[in-house]
Amino acid sequence: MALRGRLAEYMTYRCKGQMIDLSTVVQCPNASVVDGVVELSFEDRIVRIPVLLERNAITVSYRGRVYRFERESAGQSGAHHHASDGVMTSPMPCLVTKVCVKPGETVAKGQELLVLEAMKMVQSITAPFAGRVAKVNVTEGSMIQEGIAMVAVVAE
Amino acid sequence: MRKVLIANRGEIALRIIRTCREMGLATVAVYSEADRNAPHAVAADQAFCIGPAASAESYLVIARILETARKAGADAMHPGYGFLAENGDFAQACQDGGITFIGPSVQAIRALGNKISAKELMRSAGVPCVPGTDGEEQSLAILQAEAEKIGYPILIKSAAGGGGRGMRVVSCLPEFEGELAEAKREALTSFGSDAVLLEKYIANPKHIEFQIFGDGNGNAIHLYERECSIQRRYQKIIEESPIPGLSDALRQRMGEAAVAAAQAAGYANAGTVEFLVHGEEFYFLEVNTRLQVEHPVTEEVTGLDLVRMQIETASGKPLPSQDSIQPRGHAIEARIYAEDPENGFAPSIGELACWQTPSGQGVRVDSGFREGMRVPVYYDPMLAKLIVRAEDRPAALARMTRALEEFHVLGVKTSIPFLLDVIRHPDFVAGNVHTHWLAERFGAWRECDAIPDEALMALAAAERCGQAASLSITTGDEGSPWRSAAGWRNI
Repeated sequence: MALRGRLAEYMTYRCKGQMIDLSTVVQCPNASVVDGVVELSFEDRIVRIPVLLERNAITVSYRGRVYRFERESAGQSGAHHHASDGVMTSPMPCLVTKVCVKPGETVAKGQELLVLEAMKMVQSITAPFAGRVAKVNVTEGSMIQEGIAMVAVVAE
Repeated sequence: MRKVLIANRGEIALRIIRTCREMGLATVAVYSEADRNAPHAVAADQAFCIGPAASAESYLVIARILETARKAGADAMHPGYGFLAENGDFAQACQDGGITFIGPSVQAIRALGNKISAKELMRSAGVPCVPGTDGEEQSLAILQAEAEKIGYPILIKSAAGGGGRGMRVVSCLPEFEGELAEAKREALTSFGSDAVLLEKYIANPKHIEFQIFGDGNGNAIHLYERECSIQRRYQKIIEESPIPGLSDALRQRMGEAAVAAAQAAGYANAGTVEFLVHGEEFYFLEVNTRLQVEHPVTEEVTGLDLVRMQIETASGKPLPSQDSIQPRGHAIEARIYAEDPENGFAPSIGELACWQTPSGQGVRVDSGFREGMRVPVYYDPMLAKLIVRAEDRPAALARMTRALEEFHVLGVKTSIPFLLDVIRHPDFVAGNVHTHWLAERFGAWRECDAIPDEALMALAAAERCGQAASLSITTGDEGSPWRSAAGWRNI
């Protein structure tokens, strides 16, 4: 749970050409999110705002207008890498619980490279094809952002 | 008539099915493979798949639709709008198969579908037409001489086409030859014929149409007008009735001309006579031999169900009298498209992760979508028609604003923010619009940059809660971590 608070502080978004640092946004103390709707409860009013979460963006609909907030950290990492090029990127902010390989090591297709943990779930990151580990950018126990190149495998 | 096959999809199929049900008629839907589980298919008493997603292999295949009608035992066919609605061969095939076509006669569809013969018919009936050529002569020399006679600026358009394709405005003689060649080339590739018409170009006209009904025996009535000048890419996006600033005298003259047009064509069932209006002058444009997308505007002010009237007319019931048609109040329709108004209205494809439609007094939403549905790439990206009715125009505009603000769509971009800005523009509020107004005023439209505090607070709340995975969101983004539970297992 401490994980959530720490990450939120670093999040920066971009919308309509403006940079939005979440740590500077006045937050509604009584906010909840249920079934894709944010409910903001103030002393004298309640506002319900539908939201959509995507990999790199949060979009909200309010009074006939739609605001798409793009995650800046993801944007900075440039084009998204896909497993097909052997560069394994983090699917979301998460904790690296295990690093199973070292640079230079030969791996078989499907071999476990890393284990990630987030949102009370774990995921194994496996080699998309047989090859050699070219680089390992993460260490066990580290917290990483979304879209980070974690490990690269090159075909031999 | 006992069972009606609806040869269409989406909101119009659903809208027709609803009236049929109220009238105690059984309904048969047809759907493509992309429309399995679509609301229109689910709503009908029976539903049959008629082919792959592409319309050319499903909704446009006459033989397949007629075969389905026979299989289902349907004795009537409603074509809706678009697809086969104005196809003479389809009406003929229904007639040959002993199925009542809920629409005009084959002859009327063919005569009015051709712009040249339609115009001739209207001239002979005394309906004012835009000065122009009849399309018989196609040589450069004669067309050039005709252009001089009509007077520049001149509009060149395809004799067979529509929808703005192949249309060119020529402002003076030296440009004529080159523009003519371009127009002919475009007409040939778009419509299979390079025959063109010349017309006097009417600057900044209003596009006004009259809803008509005929009984096929020379009797016809009109159901008053709709203002349709707000168009993007020659497609209407806002329609209303009555028209602000239209004088009673002009309304009466146009209504009479619309009825004369219907009578001249021996018209049966519902149709629309379109006019260009400039000052107190009006000119016949064309007849749409179908139920229009914007027909709910007329329904809301007349209190009539036009689909019911179509079915009754097709069953031989006499038309109501002209005097019985008494419009009341004001109605406006706004079409909500899945498109990006900041980017040339490019279609926006995706999944409707959030779909909340407005409601309340005087608000009607005709839509063929529900939450979670994908907007298919194969068909028109219209998501819904939002129609409001109120006692007068200011009240209707306020209601439209309120309803648009209650409309929430996430997962695709929509025209909602654009429509809000259009209906609040002083020119629109004053009724000072014409067919080029939208392009002139909103051609480079950008949404306002301000971000309200509420949106920022929602962002912060979603960010915090999103990491706790309490959101059950479906998204069109296959890569979304909140969706890609695939590789993840609980601990």
